[in-house]
Amino acid sequence: MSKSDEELMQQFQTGNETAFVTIYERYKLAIYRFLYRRLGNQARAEDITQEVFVAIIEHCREWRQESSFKTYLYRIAHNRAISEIRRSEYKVMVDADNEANAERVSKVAAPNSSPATSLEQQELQIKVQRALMMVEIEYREPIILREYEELSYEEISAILEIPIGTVKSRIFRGKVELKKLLEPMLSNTPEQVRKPPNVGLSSGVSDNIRT
Amino acid sequence: MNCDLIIEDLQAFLDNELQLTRRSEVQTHLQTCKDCSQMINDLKDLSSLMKSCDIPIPNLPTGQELLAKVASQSAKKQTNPFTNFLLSTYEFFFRYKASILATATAATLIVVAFNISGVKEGRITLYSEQEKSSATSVQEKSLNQDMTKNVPVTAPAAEVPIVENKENSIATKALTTSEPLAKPQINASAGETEGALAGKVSNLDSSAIVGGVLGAKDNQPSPPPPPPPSDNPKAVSNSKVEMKPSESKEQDDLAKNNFADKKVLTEQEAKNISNESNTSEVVEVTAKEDSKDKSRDLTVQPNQSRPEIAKEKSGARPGNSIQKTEKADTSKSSSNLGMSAPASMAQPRRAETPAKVAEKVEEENRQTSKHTEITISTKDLQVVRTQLTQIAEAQKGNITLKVTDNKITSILIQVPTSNLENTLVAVRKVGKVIKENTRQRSVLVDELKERKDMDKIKSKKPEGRKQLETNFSTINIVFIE
Repeated sequence: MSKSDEELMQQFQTGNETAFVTIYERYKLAIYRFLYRRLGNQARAEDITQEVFVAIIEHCREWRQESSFKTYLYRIAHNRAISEIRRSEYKVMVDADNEANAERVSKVAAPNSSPATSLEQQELQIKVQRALMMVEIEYREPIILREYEELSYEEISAILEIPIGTVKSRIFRGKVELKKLLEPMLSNTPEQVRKPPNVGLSSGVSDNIRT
Repeated sequence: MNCDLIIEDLQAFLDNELQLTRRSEVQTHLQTCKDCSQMINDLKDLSSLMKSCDIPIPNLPTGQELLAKVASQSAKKQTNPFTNFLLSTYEFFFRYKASILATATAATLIVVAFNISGVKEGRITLYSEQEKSSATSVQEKSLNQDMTKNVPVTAPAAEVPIVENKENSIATKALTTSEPLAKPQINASAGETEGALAGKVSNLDSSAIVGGVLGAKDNQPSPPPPPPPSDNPKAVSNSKVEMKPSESKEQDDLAKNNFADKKVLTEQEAKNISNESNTSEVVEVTAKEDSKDKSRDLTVQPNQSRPEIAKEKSGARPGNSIQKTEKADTSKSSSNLGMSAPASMAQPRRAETPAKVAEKVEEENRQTSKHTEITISTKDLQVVRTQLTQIAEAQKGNITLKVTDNKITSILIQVPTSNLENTLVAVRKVGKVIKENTRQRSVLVDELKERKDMDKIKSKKPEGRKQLETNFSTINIVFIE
């Protein structure tokens, strides 16, 4: 049976480096995903992912089990992302140098799919990421943490240091905003096949929502 | 229940984050309200849409690598006293920033006030006098020291030639020969005033070098070469006493040219020269030859490791013996290069052969892949995209979007090289071709590394990849509306 994060962290605090390697392997992709979607840039996401784990190594003794290790880790990532954004005032929606990324995305997406499917998938990814980066930052983070990282509302609340009620409303409002942004993007696609069913908000409901 | 009261809980309902009582309330409402049911469906669709999107594969280090990196960083921090000093200085400055700034401001204000109140002139004069006198005294002191020791003034001159690079050690060599030459000039000016002396000394750098090099030049035709200056400085210095001041300008120019030429020589060459106890004569000859063949040498130098291959490829031919001898000479000392006229004549041939070999090798690589860039003018990007997708599908290729600033700027089609021509024919029909450029490239060099890295990340063996890399070509279609 695999050890819990907290157990591994305790072992690492006593000098067991293998415990850290296990933690790193367990979370590196999750943190990278979070940062990539938060910043919209692969290189920066990679750098900050490393920074987060370097911080874990350097300050491992400061972790006192007051919160779960997962929350602690995401909070570091969240803070680093904020610092990064403040430092560089980086607001690019999708990677500007997406040349390399586009190829990589396609490789990830569907290596054996037909060119048409692959192209559709790539377009969709670009659009979703673009729309996500256009969502207000205070909504974006809870959405990413909930939808992609599948964290509980409590965990999101602890990471972002906001009440659970606020998490709930931000996720909802953010998703409504995201839908609004995606609607025109998806309707512009030539083939309606690409548009997922019932993506548009029903007007009666959306009118009632004040975002 | 009113929709406004329940709508914000719909996402939480989907996420199973509601308390039981609230959950049952929402459930009851959803059974009766169509709008809210629609909303729930919309949210579900959005979630699935978001989750279907992948992100680029990261290039992250392993856990062990990261640990090692941190360990090395912390070790550096602990062991580097210079960094510690800098850090402490930095800390000190920031801790007492306010007081330091206040002091600096006050000092500036005082200086400004003095300047305004007319003390400026006196102050400047005083300052310059001090500067001058201190500079003169230092130079004078060094001169006196040297003269009393009956050793030529080499200390300042030794630092003169601004030998920035080790490769320029030939300049140092020339200077060594010139060192003793400074003495007669100083002797001549011994009776002059301090100021004049200082002026002379300040010019000593260039004149000393000039003297050295020119002395070498003058001595050039007269074998045997004098011994190294370190062994017998007087001998060389005596030879330079007769140097006329009128010559110095011409000589200066010549010397500058020589120095420029000498930069071509490597450190090894300079070393060899000194090992063979060559005098400035040899240096001069080398420099001359180099100046003649400067451009040639620059091209030949990087390829000097290739002649063997070149020879193998080109086979034996007349004149090879000369080349061979020359090769051996070159490896030993480049000073011999200049001494031997036939060898220097053979240089261009030597340069050509490795180049040919390199071209041949490159050509072999180039056969592996082609990259075509086509600029197409189009009114409807969507139509073109659909057509290109069909073309890629028909030619058994892959298609990739390239995005810059959130706009699709081009489409990359990767097809087997055998299908490249057919694909190109089809692509040309898609729109009005503005520009087309095909180039061959080595996939093995450019992309193999990257793909290997990708495989490393995925922990996969590159099965079947080799085939893809060597046999595929790409077409990049750029759009202009």
